[in-house]
Amino acid sequence: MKKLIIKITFLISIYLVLSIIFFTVVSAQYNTAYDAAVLDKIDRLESTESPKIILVGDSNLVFGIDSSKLQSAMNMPVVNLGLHASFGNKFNELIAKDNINKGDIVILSQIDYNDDDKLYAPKLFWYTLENHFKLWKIIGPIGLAENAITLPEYCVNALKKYINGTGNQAVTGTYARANFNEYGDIKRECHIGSNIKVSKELFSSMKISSKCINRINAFTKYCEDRGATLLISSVPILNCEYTPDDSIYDSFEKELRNKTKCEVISKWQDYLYEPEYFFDGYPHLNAEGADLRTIQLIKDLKSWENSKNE
Amino acid sequence: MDFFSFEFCIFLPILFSIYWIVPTDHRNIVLCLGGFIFYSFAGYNYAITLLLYVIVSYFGGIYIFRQNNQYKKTNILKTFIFVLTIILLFFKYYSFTISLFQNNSFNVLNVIMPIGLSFYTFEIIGYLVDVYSEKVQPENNFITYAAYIMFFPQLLSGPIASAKVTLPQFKIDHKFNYDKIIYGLKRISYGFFLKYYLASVLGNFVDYIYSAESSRGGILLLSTMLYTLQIYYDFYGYSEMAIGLGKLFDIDLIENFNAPYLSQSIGIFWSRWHISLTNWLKEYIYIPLGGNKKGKFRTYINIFVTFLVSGMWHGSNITYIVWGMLHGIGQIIERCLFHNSKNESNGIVGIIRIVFVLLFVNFTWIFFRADSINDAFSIIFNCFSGVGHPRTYILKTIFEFKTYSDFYNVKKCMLFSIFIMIIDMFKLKGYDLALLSSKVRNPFRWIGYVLYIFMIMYYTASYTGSSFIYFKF
Repeated sequence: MKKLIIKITFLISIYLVLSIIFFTVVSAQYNTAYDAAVLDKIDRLESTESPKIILVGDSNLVFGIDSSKLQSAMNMPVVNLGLHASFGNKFNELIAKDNINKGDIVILSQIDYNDDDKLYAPKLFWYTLENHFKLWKIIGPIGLAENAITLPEYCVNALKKYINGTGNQAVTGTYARANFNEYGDIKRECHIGSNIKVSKELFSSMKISSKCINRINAFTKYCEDRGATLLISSVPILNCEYTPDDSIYDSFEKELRNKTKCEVISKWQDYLYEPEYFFDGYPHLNAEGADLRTIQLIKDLKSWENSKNE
Repeated sequence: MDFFSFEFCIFLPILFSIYWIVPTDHRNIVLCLGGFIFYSFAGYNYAITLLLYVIVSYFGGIYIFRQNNQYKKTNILKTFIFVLTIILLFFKYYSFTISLFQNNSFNVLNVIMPIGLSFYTFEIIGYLVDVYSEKVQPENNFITYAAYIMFFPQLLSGPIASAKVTLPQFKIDHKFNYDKIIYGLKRISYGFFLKYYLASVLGNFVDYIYSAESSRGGILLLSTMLYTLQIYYDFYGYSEMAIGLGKLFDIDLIENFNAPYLSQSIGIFWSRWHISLTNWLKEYIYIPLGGNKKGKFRTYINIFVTFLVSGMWHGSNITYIVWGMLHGIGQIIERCLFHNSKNESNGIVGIIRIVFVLLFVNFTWIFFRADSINDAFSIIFNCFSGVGHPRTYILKTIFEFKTYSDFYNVKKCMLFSIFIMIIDMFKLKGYDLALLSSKVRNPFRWIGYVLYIFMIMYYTASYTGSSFIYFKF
């Protein structure tokens, strides 16, 4: 047994040493990618004074919010942390926890409530984290260990770019770090027009997992302990022949309200939009769709504020 | 709990350490607890179900053995088999039966079959029949019996452990064997690569081609062949991991695959594919029906029934049943034409035989994968769409393959498949590369290990989380 432990320890040590050398020598190679925008979002989160509005969730927020409009209406600075559903809800919430203070309003808006509390996207994880040790600290050792197996693939590809000098090249198209504005939204001019293909596969089941609920409730407590408030808002929903019945959304909302310890400020049916308001896929709204959705969110927030003051 | 999960990476070293630290007579308790915890990740209700199965079958074995009255003994066995089979059929066929009724007047229960139920049901039936026919003594020690049924590597997708071969291993004193553990780790890593890289990448490509409405012609035909590889790597990979994990605890599980795609007849194929299931069907269905002892015609019926049961075991869809029947019919025809199809040929004749068997197996997998018989025939028909213009057919196939294969990294998989076939050929000749690699001198062996593990980690980064195909059986 001793021989086995020594050899396994030796093997793991080789990988750790190689990883340390790699991250020391090879600089970040994917700084221009879409997901690298998380660094700017964290910077904004840290530099924005409270009370502020923090939007937490996936790319429905990136493509679905006009933060400047929201900021004007609510008279509070807005930080849009929306990024990528593939990272998993847990990742998006971890990023937000970096700077939540008294008076902050944290708005959670996510597509999937049936997650299993994991950090996903093995192919994106290290390409986003790279050697940004601030992100490593936010993710934590368990999150890093969960994704350790995908490290070699990132290292090989990053090393190739480093050696060839082809890293950090400008990314064409909408999905680039340079296309985010100062709030964390995609710039208006980058999501004009509509090219969504409607199909049944766009609609997943409206299930809610207990792991997701437990995590949201823990997040609620986290916010409350810091004098902040967590609210849940809807995502944009495509209104087409495949859209589920109202009754499905009603029962989903009811279950969410019953199980979560935070307030659900939206009615899902208020966020139904025709295909012409979507950008390139679901749930990415185009600029006009984002305007409509932001107005609805403002209404929901004002309604919540009024009910709070009564 | 998936083998490719963080929880399993924590679970395995802890269980392994405790197993080898505790005194010998406590090791089975560790395995029982380990199996229960492992299965609980699928759901506590499933773990309780498994425990009930273990308790009932434990007492059942003792009760059957103690009966002096042969008539009563037989009836008790039949009752157990009947109840276990009915439960299995209920879980497998409930949704299928409900779907046959078009209206929704039935109150549809949300019935989900516990993962692994097919496998441990067969193990328990095999144990009870062996006790009845006195091929094994009933296990009086509950913990030993529970450790045998709940042994976690085989719990979810086999191999189906035979009581005669595997149960005695839970009664002996196990000594920590460093070489065996390293051998086990090598087999785990090999299985890991097969399942989480090759099967996964091929699966993504095949799913894409199958789901695209415009897919027809050579690219669809090629996808059927890639599915043939996918299902092999998926299941073979899992079996390798299960066998390797067994070695870590000094338990030798039955080999489940032995280069099946290098078989020269369908009969030989079934002696090399899912060997534990083939053995079970032979021992508990084919031989009790009379095997080949009751004349040619009866033998053919017995083969057909055995493979019909195999098809039904795999799933409730009619496509599985057709798949099973095709293999049964294939073997019958083979026996009619070639009296001793288990003799192997050398040279070009051998290669031709392998190709024919592969084509047949590939054809039957189309039914196995299809959602319905109509779909299967539609795929078969579409595979040959445009074959009347061979030049266009081939060029279109090449063009489409180049377009999609780069995106899905399929070419690398096909290259690796050549190496897998070579490894299989060595295996058939009796060479175990996992054992041979131990003979390479240091430091080359260690450099090889580091590069090998690095390669596995590098390639499995693309794994997107699809489950074992055989989990649903």
